[in-house]
Amino acid sequence: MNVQTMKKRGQFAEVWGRLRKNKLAMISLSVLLLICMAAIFADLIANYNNIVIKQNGAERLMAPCAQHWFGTDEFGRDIFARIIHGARMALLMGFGATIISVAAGLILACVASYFGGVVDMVIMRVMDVLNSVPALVISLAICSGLGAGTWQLIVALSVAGIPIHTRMIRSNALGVMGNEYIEAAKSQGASTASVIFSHMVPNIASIIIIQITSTVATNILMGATLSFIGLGVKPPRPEWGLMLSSGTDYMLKNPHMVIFPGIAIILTALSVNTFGDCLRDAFDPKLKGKA
Amino acid sequence: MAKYIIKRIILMPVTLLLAALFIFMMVSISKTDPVLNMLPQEYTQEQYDALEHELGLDQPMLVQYVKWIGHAFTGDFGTSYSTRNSVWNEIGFRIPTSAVLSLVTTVLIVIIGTVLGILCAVHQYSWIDNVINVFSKMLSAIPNFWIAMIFMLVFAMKMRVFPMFGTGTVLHWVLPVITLALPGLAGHVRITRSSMLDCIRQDYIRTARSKGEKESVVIYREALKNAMMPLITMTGNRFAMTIGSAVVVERVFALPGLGTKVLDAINAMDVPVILACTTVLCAIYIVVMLIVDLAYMFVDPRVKGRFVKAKKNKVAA
Amino acid sequence: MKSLQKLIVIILTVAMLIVCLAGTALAVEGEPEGLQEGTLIRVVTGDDYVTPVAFMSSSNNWLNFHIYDTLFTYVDGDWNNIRGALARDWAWAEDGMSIVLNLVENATFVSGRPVTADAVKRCFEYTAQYYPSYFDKIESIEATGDYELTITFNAPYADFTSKFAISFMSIVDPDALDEFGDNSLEGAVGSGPYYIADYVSGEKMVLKANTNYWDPEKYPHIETIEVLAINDDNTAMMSLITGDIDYYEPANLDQVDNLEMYDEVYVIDGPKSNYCVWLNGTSATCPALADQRVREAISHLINWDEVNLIVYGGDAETLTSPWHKGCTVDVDEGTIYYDPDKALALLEEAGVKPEDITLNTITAPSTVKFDTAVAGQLTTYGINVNINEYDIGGAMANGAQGNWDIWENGAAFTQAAPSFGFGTMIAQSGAMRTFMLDPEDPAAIKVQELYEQANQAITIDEMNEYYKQCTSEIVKAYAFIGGLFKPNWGAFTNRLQGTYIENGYRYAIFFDAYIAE
Repeated sequence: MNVQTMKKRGQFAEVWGRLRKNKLAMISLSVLLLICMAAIFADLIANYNNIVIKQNGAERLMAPCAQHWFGTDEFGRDIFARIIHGARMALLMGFGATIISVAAGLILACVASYFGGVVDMVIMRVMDVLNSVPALVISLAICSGLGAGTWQLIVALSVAGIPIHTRMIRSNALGVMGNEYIEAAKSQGASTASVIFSHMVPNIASIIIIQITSTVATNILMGATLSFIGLGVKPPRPEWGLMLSSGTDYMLKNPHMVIFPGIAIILTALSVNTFGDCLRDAFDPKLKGKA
Repeated sequence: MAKYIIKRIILMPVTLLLAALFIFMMVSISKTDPVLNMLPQEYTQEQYDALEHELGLDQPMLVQYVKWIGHAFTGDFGTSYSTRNSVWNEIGFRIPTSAVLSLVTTVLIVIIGTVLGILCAVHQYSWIDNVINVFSKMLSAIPNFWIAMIFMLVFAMKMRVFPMFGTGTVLHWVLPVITLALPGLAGHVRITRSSMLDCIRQDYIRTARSKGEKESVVIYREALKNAMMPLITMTGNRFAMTIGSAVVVERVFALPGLGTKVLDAINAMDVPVILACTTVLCAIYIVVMLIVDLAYMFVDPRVKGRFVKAKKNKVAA
Repeated sequence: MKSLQKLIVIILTVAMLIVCLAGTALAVEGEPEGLQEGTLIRVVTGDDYVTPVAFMSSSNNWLNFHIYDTLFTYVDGDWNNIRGALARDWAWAEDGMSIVLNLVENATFVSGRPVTADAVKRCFEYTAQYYPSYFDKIESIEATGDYELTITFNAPYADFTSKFAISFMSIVDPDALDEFGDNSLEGAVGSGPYYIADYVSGEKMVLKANTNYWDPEKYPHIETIEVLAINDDNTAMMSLITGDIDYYEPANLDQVDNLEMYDEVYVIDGPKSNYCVWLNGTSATCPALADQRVREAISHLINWDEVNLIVYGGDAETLTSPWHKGCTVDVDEGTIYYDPDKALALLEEAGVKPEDITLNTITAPSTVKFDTAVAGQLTTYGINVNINEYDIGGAMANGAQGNWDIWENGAAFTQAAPSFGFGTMIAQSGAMRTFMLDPEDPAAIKVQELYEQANQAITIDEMNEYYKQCTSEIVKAYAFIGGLFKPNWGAFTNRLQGTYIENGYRYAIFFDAYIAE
C-alpha cells in the first residue's frame, strides 16, 4: 500500500463524512437505494409472467384501488408491478450503459494519455468524430442498424456516452501523468498496466464518480425517450418510457396511466441528479458556503 | 489566427465524412433486406439480382460508402426506398424547419439561461436562487416528451390558446420551442450559476471590489468575461442535446422537420433517407460547433494571446 | 282605377309570398347543390397516403377511390353484386372465354383527354406490370371501337368483373404515364371526382374537386380536401376535438370513448373487417409448426373473448372462418375454440414443450395492440413470441415473403369474394403458396387441386363452390387459427356532414360530404 492510495482512502472517508451531514444527499441516496431494492427484488414483489405481462381483459383500465395500487393498464396488467419491474429496466439502462461507457472511456483515455503520440492522436480523432454526432442521432443510427430491443438500446446509449467520458478522463489523466510518482514508478520498472491501474485511476476516481452520476440521469431519460418513439424496449416488457407512450392514448380519461410512470422517471432522474450535485459539493469543499 | 481558422474550416468536412462513415457502418449492419421490400409480390431471382445491382447493394460496404459520398457532394442523396422519389425532394424542405427550431431554442436557452444564472449567482441563497434552483432540478429530470404531452393537453386542447400541430404562424412555434427549451434551460442556468460563482470567488474580483469599483461593473465586466468561456463551450453541447430532443418534439407536434422524417425512415428501413437525415443533422451541428469554437477563441484571452503574441514576434523578426 | 290597384296589390302579395316560400326552401339545411367552397382536413396517422403514389399502391385505396374510376364497381359493398362504372354494360361470350365492354362516352381525364377504349387498353399495359396475377388469364385486350373493348381469356375468368372493380384496377391516363412515368404524382392523372392539386412529400396532399366529373352520382360537393400525415395518435385525437382537423380514423376503442365525451365531434361505426391469424407451416425458424397437432394446440390456447375484451371492449366477434362474415364462402368447421387443456395434451402428444416454441410475428402500427393481445394469450402458457414492428409496406412485403411464424393478415381476406384472397395469396411464388402448408402435406395437395379446379370454373357460383371446399381444408388443417371480426370507426367534427363509410373499403367516402355551417 503506497502513500498515494492511503491518501485516497482518507479522502473518500472525508467525502463520505461530508455527505452524511448533508440532508439532501441522504434523502436522494435513500430514494436511489429504494429504487435499487425494488429493481433487485422485483421478482419477489411481483412475478413477471403472472402479473407483469399477463393480460386480463376484465380488469382493464381500473383506477388505483386496494387491489391494484396504481391501477391497471389497457391490457389489464397491474401498473404497480410494471413500475417495479420497470425500475430494473431503468437502472439497467442508467447504470449499465453508463458503466460500460465509463469503463470504455477509462481504458481509452488511460491508453491515450499513457502512450501519447500517434495512439493519442488517433483515439482523440475518433472521439472527436463521435462527438460531432449528437447523442440521439448516434442512438438512432445504432437502433436502425441493430433494430429495437433491450440490449440494442444499451449498446446505443453506451456508444453515445463514450466520447464524453474519454475526453473528460483524458484531460484529467494528462494532469496526473506529469506527477513525479508516475516517473518514479516507471523508473522502478513497474509494468504499464500496474502504473495505469494503481496510480492513475485512484487519482481520477473522484472525477469518474461525478461523471457517472450525471450520465446515469441522462441515460435514463434518453432510454425513456427512445422507448417512447418505439426504438427502445419492445412490448410487452415494462419500461417507463414505453408505458408513457402507450398511456397517452388513454390520458384523457385514465390519467393514472401516465402519472405513475412519469413520476417514476422524474423521481429517479431527480434523485440521481441531486445525489450527483451533493457528491460534487462533497468532493470540493470550496463550493460550499459564501465566497 | 487566420491559419487556425482555416485549419478548422478544412477539418470540418473531414469530420463530417468520418461521422457519415460511422453512421453508414451502423446502418449497414441491419438485417432487413431493402431489395425484398421493393420487389413486387411475385419475383424471380433475376429480378432480385437486377434490382440489387441497380441499387448498388451488391458491392462491398466501403465501395457503397465512397459512391454515396461522391453523389452527396453533388447534392444527390439517392432515391428513397419507400417513395422512389429523390431523397433531396423528401428532406430538403424539412431542413429549415429543424434548423430554425434547434437554433431558436438554443439562442433562447443561452440568453435566458445566462441572465437567470447570473441572477442566481449574484443573489446566492436568496429566495430567487432557491426557487430557480428547485425548478431547474425538476425540469432536468422530466423527459421532454412528457412536457410536450402536458403542454399540448393544457394549452392547445383545454385552453385552445395555441394551435395543435404544424407550422404556419408564429403561434404554431411557441409550444414546440418552449417544450424543447425548458430542460435545456434548467441545465444552462445551473452551469452559469456555478461558473459565475467560481469566478466571483476569485482573487481578482476581491481586488476589483477593494479598488472601489461599482458592484455591477465588477460582476459584468470582470466575472462575466471569465465565466463566459466554459459557457460558450457548453453552448455547443447544449445545441447537440437540443437537436436530439427536437426529434421527439417534432413528432409530437407534427412539425415537418428532419426528426419526423428520420423516425419514419427508420420504421420503414429506408436507408438513403436515414443516411441523409442523420448526415444533415450532423452537418448542422458541426457548422454550429465551428462557429462556437471560433467565438470561444475570440473570447478566451489565453487562446487569443497565443496568436497575437506569435504575430508580434513575426513582426519583430 | 280601383280594380287596377287591387290587381297590383294582389300580384305584389302573391309575388312576396312566392319569394318568402322560395327563401324558406333555400334556407332549409341539406345537401347543397353544386360546389362548396371550403377546405376539409382529413388526417391519417402514418405517411402512407401522402407519399408519391407508386402506381396505384394497394395501401392507398382511399386516394385511388377518389381520384380514379374503375371499369366496374359494386353495390353496397357486396363484391358479388357488380354494377358498371366506366364500363356502361358488357356481354360475356357463351363459352366464357371473352367479354365485350361498352364504355361510357362522356368520361374525361383531368388532363382533358377522353377515356377511350384505347386509353383503357394502354393503361392496363402498365397495370399488368404491377399486378400480374390479375392478368394471368387474359389473352389479349383490344380496342374494337372508340368506346368498345374486347377482352379474350386463355382460361375461364369467372370473377373478372369483381376483380376489376377493385381500386387498383383503376384507369389512369396513359399519356400522363408515358410522359411522367408510373411512379410520380404528376403521372397520377385520373377521371375521378377529385384530382391531386398539390402535395408535400410525407406531410400533406391537397385534392381539388373535378368540376368536369362525368358521373352525377359521385359528383363532389367540397371543393378542397387536404390530407395530412400526423404520426402521433394522441395528437390526431386532440386535434379533432379542437377542430384543427375534420376527420380521422380512431385506432382503438379507448380513443372512441374519449371522443364521445365531446359534443364537437361524432363517431360512426363502420363495417367490420377481418383480422385473421395464420400460422406458417413451412417456417424455417419454427419447424414445430409443420406438425398439425402443434398448430391446433396453438389455436386452442387463444381465448378470443379475452382478446376481444382487451382490444375492442367486447365489440368484435370471433372469427371461425378466414372469410368475411356473411360472404358466400363462410365456412365454419367448428375448429376454433378455447381449450387450453386439450392444447397442452396435444403438445405433449407431439412431443413439443411450450417453452421450446418461439414464434416471430410481423406487425404494423395499426395492429400492434391486437398482436400484443394475441401474443399475451400465448405467453401465458410459456410460448415465446417476438413482435417485429414494421411500417405497413414493410409488413406486407415481409408477410408475402414468409418471414413469419404467426401473422395477422386481414388485408387479403376482407373482401366478401374469396377469389381475392386466394388470388393474392395462393398465386404467389414461394412462401405463400398453399397457405403456408408443407407442399407434401395431404391437406396442401388437396387445397392446390381444388384451387386449380376453381380457376377453371366458368361461373362465379361454381368457383365459390370450389373455394368453399378449399377453405374447409385450410380451416381443418389449422393454417388459420382464428381471429376477430373487428369494428372500425370514423370520427368527424360536426361541420363535416354527409360522409358515410363505404362497406367495401371501410373508410369515409367524401363524394356526398358537405360542410355544414
